[in-house]
Amino acid sequence: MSDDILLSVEDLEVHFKTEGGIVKAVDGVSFQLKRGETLGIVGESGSGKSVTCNSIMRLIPSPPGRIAGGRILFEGRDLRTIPQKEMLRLRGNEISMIFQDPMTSLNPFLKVSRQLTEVLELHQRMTGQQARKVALEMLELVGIPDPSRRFDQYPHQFSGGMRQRVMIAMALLCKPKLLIADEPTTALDVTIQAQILELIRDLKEKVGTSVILVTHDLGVVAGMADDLLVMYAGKVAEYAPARPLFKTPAHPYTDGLLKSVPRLDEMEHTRLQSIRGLPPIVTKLPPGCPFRPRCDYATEVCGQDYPARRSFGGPAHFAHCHHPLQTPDEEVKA
Amino acid sequence: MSDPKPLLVVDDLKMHFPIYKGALLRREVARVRAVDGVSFEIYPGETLGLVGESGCGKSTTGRALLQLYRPTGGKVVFDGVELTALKGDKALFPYRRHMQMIFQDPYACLNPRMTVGDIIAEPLRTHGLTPDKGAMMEQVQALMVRCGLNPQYVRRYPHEFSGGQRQRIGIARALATSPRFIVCDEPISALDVSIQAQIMNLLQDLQQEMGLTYLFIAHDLAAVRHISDRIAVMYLGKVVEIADYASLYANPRHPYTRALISAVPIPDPEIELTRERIVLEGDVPSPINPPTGCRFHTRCPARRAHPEIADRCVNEVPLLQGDDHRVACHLYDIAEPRDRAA
Repeated sequence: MSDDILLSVEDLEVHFKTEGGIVKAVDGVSFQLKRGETLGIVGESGSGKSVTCNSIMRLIPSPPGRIAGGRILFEGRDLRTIPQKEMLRLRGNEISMIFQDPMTSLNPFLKVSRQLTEVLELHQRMTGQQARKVALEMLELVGIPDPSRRFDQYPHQFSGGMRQRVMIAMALLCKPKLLIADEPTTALDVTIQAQILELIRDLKEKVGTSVILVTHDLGVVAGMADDLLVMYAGKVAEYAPARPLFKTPAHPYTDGLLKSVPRLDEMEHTRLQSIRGLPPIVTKLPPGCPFRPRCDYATEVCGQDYPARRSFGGPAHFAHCHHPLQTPDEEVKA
Repeated sequence: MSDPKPLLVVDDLKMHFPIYKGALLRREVARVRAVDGVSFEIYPGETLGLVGESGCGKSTTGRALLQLYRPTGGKVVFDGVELTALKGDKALFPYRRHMQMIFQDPYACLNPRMTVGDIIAEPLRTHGLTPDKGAMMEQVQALMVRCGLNPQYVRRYPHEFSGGQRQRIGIARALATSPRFIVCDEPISALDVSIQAQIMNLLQDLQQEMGLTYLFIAHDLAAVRHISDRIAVMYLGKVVEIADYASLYANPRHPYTRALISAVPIPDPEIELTRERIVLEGDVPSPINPPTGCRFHTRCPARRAHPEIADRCVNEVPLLQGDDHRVACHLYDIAEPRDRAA
């Protein structure tokens, strides 16, 4: 494996035991993340995007969850097999995560200062005073006004946007190599969203962190991500660098998603092309391609076999579809 | 809209919520000025979009229009009748069937103990619109079909449906009394991306077929732009700009509108790379103690660039002025407003 690849997920499978049988929340997901780059994971609720992230952090509740297969290589080491002690050292130190809801992920009983310094004392073995100094600097870096006064306040005294900044400060304290942001701006207003995205972009440059950005908003990843992973029903629908994904999507689902969102720069009022039907119920997936019941291009073969991986204009862009909207490479050569 | 007679006129609407302290000697200590002097009109058959960040008073405005809250000041005139002058629920009752609401949360707005059929039939019963049971069932099923629901599911309960289907139930219920005006309060923000488009298309189809008038409240500017004829932008209880959709997005005048529009990401990496973003500092101030003068002055980037008006922004409340494209900003009180804004 080359050195510039920080994280490589191979054939990840995560199963959950439910009353309705075993749910394959993540089913054969693979991707790679280079150092300093941003990967966007896009999908609707239930597509497995959060479960993918939680498995990297080893945060899948077990039971009922279980990582059933695959490898998660972080700097060449498989996070699935390293001892728990080693994982505790990595988590919050080399890999950090920001969650969607900043209110429920901060401890309401502890002052912000305590929640920040704890990270440093634990991972970097700093003394209380050192940790306070570093944490205060970080609060300033993430743009909290009057940080020395805010430092000893409780989470409820902060607004939503400010709490998310505290979360980001906490995640970045140890200058992690990988930052996983799971819908970091979904709960926030657009102007605050712009602030937070700007902040992540800025810090990525200053600290050199690689980022996994999970979202359902294609607009958010358009300006942030180098590569994009589109997930549907626990599987990879399409994987591509940002430009070709938005410009020449190969999977009908990606295309449908792009066409179904109203755009601020549309000229006239047009009718949206919605994707028909309902999002899949993961316990009752049809055989073959999971998108088939909602797909305009589906034929008989789509109901029989899960489509193999096909690449488009090089191995960086691939999709799983029997009837892709672009010409696959194997047909170009033939 | 060329139709000269508006369906709904809102004049200086105020909705203040008192905050009390003390148990025995209860006294008012402060007021949340959720809506503080809002005026606009809505014409028959059009969609007025209402955008703003959370806490700006857009939902409160919608509810105060329908008299779900009784406004603490100002007038709401619906089809020539001054609703705010009617005393008591009885006097309002005959008008309620003409004004309905679609709610944001499709999980919370349906009674989990009622079947879908009962939920949709309730407004028919309340307003005594169909005395005959068989006819009512027919009407309910017709509404379900119209909203894209399988009429065989009439005896099912809300929990058996997905979010998008539940929103369709909410829409069918709102349509049951054949209203003329519907307040859509964030009807798509709780739904999955692929379902949002379905619901927006449904709302547009229904509007065309039934000649409905909408107030469409949302924080998603792209969605509001897509569905609205005219758009009002709110900030901290006031309308700062109101214009037709094309003009508002092509030529936003209020510094807040500009920042808001520039903050919305566009799903196209090439456009995103070159776009200039106005990032506002800080959070929205509290509506309990809003800033003096222009309420946006604490965050306004234009005020910093124009020291000649800086004092007026702090001391004087700007008026909403203009003909079709109205804006409340001191920048436009002075000569050659367009150059100034640049």
